[in-house]
Amino acid sequence: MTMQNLTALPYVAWVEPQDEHRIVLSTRLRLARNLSGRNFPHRLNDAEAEEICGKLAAALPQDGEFAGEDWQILRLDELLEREQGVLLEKHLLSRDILQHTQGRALAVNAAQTLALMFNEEDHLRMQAILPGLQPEAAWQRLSALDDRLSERLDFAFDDKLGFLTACPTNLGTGLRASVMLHLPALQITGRLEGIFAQLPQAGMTVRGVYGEGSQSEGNLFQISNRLTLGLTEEEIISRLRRLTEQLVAQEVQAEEWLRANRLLWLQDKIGRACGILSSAYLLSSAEAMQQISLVRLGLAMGLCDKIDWRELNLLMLAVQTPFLLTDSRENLSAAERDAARAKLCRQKMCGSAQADIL
Amino acid sequence: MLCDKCGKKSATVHIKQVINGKQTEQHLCADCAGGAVDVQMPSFGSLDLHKLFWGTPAADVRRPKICPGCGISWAEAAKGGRLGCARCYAAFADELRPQVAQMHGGKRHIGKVKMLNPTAQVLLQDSALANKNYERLALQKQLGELVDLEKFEEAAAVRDKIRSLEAELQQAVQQANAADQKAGDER
Repeated sequence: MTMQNLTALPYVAWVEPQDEHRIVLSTRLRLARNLSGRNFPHRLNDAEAEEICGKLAAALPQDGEFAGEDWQILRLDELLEREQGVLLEKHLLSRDILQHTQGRALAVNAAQTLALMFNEEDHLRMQAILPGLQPEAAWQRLSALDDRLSERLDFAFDDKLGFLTACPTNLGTGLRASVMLHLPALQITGRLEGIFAQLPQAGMTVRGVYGEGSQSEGNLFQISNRLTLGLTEEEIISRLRRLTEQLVAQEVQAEEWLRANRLLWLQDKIGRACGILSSAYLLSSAEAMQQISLVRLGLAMGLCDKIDWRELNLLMLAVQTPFLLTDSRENLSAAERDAARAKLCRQKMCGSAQADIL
Repeated sequence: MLCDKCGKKSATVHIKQVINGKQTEQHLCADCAGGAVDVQMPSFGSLDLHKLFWGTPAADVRRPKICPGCGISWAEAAKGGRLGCARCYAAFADELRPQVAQMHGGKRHIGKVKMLNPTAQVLLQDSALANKNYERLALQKQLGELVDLEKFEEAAAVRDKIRSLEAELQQAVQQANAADQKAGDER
């Protein structure tokens, strides 16, 4: 894997089609760990932070199960803003770590399924990201990585409180297990809010696409566990699976309701969305995501065949501003971005030859 | 009793004030009381949401508690919502206990444990053994609860279960170690 692929190309493992219902985009599991005897990252100076980065990087496993990972280590202070943006869109990086980039780093494997942030809120935040609903597989990978790392690193641990973290909300397992869901039918039928209101009772919370406090875009939502202490990792994961399966069933139900009661209306909406994506010359990010969401629903319900499933996943990434900036290799004004985004959509929806004629 | 102020009429209004632990008493007649009562209402200041969330530790107003590991004070940690280092958990245990209980429901960690000894390696390779280890942890937690509730009979049963699981795990570890040694000898 080259650096180019990682910080420029709109490709990441979770775009591969996995979920038959086309509702679960990705599963993401994150573990928080800290080195014992060291201050947490926000109490480190840059030199100390650098030293910890070096220590963590040296501990990355290179053999056995992890022989072919080909870890790429990126220093965040050496990345361009658009490259940081690309990593953010791929969910390999969090916004928090970008507040102070000195002494911060990211390690990613060649497949882009494992990403380790050094000196985010905790010394080590490692995550496994897989397409579709695969929390068990993601946990197997992540737990194995954790085991290998803990052979070489002394993690801060307490018998009662489990793994110690900078913020007590992550204590215990340090595990945040989340899924990214596309729920347009529930949104259209107005049932989403009621469902989300019940999540806290199930020990889950809903977040926007880019994590805590962020907005939802294109009917994408991130569901994750609220509690990290007092449960086993397996329990957290199986709860996430059960809840996700319930949400998927409800979304499918809402799709069927729309098919039975509002078919023509829905076909019209989806048809118009295809029309906009294949013929517009200016598209804002929000509009593009909204129309892509409808096309996605069309694909899921078999009401649209204008674009391949995988291509649509790639398009969802590619229309994000950081990727547009990468393509142009120069700064774009807002209008130029909207034009570039619209061109990209026309190309994907019509095939590139036609798009140039249009 | 005559009025403290005019000294003529009898005092019918008795005012006792305690401000910052200092007590003052006034005995006034009805006329003097009308104008002279000076009741000071202390200001409560604006509400600090962080303090509401984290609770207000009363003790550290005069003597700030400092973590020996990183030098952060409890006030500073509570304000930022983040601790300074792993040792803060011991240094501020009293302050943190109610908060952690509120966040996580007062439970004990029963997930993965830090690898402290060679047993862990075997537990990793064999998922059945790993499950037994988790069960052991869960039972240990249950045991603590039962003892707290003084249900000693049930506690004894749980303790026996833990012992038998431990014996099983020990045996598995010994077997694995023996197998390793044998493999080493053959090489």
